[in-house]
Amino acid sequence: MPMTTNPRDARPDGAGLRNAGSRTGTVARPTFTEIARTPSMRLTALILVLAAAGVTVWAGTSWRAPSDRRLVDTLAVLIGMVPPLLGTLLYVGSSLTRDLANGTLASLLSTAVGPREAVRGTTLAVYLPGLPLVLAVPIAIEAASGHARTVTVPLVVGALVLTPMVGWALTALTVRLAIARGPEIALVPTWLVSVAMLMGVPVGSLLGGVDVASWAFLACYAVGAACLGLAVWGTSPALTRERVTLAR
Amino acid sequence: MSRGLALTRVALRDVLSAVPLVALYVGLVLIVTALNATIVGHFAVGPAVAAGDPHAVGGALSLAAYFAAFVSAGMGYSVLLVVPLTRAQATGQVTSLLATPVGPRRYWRARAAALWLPGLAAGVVAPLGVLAALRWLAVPATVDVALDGWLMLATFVAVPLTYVGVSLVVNAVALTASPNTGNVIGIIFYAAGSSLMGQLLGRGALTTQAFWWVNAALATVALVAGAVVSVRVQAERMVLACR
Repeated sequence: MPMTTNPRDARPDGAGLRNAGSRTGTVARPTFTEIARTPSMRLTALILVLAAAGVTVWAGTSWRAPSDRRLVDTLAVLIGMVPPLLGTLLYVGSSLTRDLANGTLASLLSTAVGPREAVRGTTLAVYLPGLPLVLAVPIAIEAASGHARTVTVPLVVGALVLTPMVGWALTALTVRLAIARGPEIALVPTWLVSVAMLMGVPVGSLLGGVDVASWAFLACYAVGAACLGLAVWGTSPALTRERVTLAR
Repeated sequence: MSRGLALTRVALRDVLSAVPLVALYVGLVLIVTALNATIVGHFAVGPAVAAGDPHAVGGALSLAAYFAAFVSAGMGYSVLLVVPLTRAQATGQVTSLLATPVGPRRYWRARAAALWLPGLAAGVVAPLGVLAALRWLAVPATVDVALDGWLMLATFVAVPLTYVGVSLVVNAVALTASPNTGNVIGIIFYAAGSSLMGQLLGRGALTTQAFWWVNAALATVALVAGAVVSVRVQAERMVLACR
């Protein structure tokens, strides 16, 4: 019998939801600790911070040319995708693969923790460490470039709302697919969407066809984010204990 | 020698057995190559065609081919390394192999070769594809093209040799520390390397002949690094890395 929802969560007094939150935290905390202690994750975090500092310094020295101005805006909108992308790649590719292969996740699901709580906890643990960078770097880039007061509404919404949402959706989609169908297939949508965006938008910007500070781009970006959200929602029926147990 | 080849075949099957990852690698190579061809076609080939200089047109095409090879070969390390190796470690394949007469270094070389071969294929096919696509789509048939020999040498000799060394280093770290750390090294190498080479060529800091020598030096450094890290490859480290 598929058990996507834990029966204990059906209690009407709200205790069920509190229990679900507690179980999510039970999964998230050790996963977060594991991520924080992994040398490759620390190395990646250091590189990301150095890269963010480098990009900010570059933005502060190259704002005078109009073409650079457009590139600065593009960077401000897209750079927030990098931490979730790398975090997802490293965690799903290694730790989650190991947990699936040696049966840790299947054992976890024989306890009160359900598949959705496992997914939610893992997604939180992978996404949250990069969130400060996701939010701070676009602001730092725009401030360093000296145009913080002239940024447009679409730019702010794109960089500080849609990009974090896309990052969250990609992380959630990858973790859900990894747990339900195996890590190999999970990395495919994340990488294809991320690389297409991280390289396609700057190329479009360089060629003059894409302006990330425009309402048209914001509309397209919002539609893309909504599609990703739908894709995440569409994986929900696959999150059953049986599938997770079989997804080695 | 035959044992080494058999091991390489097994490792290659292991790397290529994850069909979604292979499809992802092919997809990424196609995306990156297409974008690379678009940029070079717009900013370098177009003006060179307008000038009507066969050497300038050939230089621009060679430049696109070089970056297609460098990035396509490097992306394999971020896609094909971690999941197959982690699974081999978690299921006990690595420790089982180390209990046989297969030594740790032979296994390391086999895995390095198995990861290098798909990159070699992509690093040859992608630049040829870029050259053909740009020649037919961006250069009129009436315009002559003289490809730059030094850049071609860098593309088809230095880049594959460089990735032999990178593959050895990445696999040594992945087998003795963690697959993720090897992955990070691979990503840093091709991202930073392509950016650095782009700056060197794009800003005209080097002639193409000097650029070839820089690439030859990079290949030598990578191969020496591959030889140096062999001291890390010990059975004890590999077993402990499987935890």
